[in-house]
Amino acid sequence: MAGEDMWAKLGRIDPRILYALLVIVLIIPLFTPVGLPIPVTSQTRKIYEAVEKLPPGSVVVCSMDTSGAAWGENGPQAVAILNHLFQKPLKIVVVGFETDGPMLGQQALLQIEKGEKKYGVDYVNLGFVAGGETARAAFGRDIHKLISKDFLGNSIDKLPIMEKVRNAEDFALFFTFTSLISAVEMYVRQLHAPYKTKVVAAIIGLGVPSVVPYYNAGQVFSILSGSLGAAEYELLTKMPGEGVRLSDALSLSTLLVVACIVVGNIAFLAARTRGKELKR
Amino acid sequence: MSVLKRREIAVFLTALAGIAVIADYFLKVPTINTAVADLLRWGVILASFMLLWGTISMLRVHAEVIRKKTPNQWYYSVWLVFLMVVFVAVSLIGGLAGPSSRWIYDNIYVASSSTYYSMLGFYMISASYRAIRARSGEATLLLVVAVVIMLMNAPVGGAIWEGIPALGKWIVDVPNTAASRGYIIGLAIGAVILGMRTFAGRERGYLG
Repeated sequence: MAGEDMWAKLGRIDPRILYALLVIVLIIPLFTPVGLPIPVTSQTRKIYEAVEKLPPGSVVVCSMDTSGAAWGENGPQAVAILNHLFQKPLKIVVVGFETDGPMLGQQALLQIEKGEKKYGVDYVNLGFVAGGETARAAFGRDIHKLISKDFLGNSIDKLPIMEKVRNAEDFALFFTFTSLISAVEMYVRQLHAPYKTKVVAAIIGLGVPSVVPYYNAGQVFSILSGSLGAAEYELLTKMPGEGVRLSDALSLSTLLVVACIVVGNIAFLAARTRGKELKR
Repeated sequence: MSVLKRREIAVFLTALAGIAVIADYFLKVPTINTAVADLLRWGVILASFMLLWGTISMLRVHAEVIRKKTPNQWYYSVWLVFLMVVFVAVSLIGGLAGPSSRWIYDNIYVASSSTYYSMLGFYMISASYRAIRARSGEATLLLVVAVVIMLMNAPVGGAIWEGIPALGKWIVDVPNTAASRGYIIGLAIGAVILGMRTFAGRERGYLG
């Protein structure tokens, strides 16, 4: 193969080859874990330590502002955090301000070991509240006036856990599991600014750079970054799960993307130096 | 024109509600605080009603497509309406948290939704090969930053070179934060101006 032809062919590689390579690098770690070390970031450790230091009986809210599409990243995060919360003597409130939220929250609740915690006494799923930012503001102000029944149809006034959960001043920590940067911004405006609520953004990896300015300004307490954040949290709680399993696939697929960028650019530059730009 | 249709009334009510919500944020006046709490609940009730309205509207649109047997489209509408009716019926009979609606949701909706989202991975791998090219100095800088951030977000980044996570964190913390703050502040000022124009009745696009 002549040199010029080789670079031209490399530049026009069949995308199906790339797709096949991606499938292979995603499947291999499921059967043969590589086990690359997962360093724990200061942001993830901050969340873990905050949960550890919460006084018994503290109220932690987990808002599932996510969707089925983002559940691949938000799911492992939610399970890792809920596993930790359920090990502590805390009161856990699950709610959702996006339509999929409560169903996904319920899915996460079904996956975790609840120990002796009882529904309605130690934890509750309040279901979906429509209204976007308005609903979030109303939630922070007075939950009992906003929501009358939980996800299972029980009157929340009859649930013991809700006796001490009335508004945002009762929240020791507030988690949002989301793919939406706007959801985090709404909590900054409606919960952190008026009530100084500690908002933790458990967001998909793609959204992290947009949330960092709020974190650096102290408006977001901390950030759990995508499935890698879930893996870090699982290691801290010594309960490896989906996040750790996904981390090898994440590493190998990232390497493949970087390799594609490098090879694609070598082919492009080689063609350009020959005065022949490759067709895209 | 009827007095009830006059736009001034809508503008006045909008301004009144908006100013009350802003006043509530800064003032501890029980009358305002209670009124605004009610306003927020009204907002939530309206949003819930709009969801129902949206569902009815969607059913009407698809019913029309089915009635006209629009080529290459009507059978998708039949499928959509069928699934909607099935899911609503199952949820009403067994409850939203019941095993049947859970099964449909977990095994059909979440699975297909995740699959659809995962397709992005294939577009990304193709784009990384064909589109991310060092065509100029700026493009090269973007390419290098993209690679560093990608490697930072995977354990393999630190394994390749331990400086990658630190470099990535610096990029996110410093240049990214600086640029983001610029547009966040710009957006906020724009929102304040838009709010003032709306209260003054000079912005009437929302009235339709």
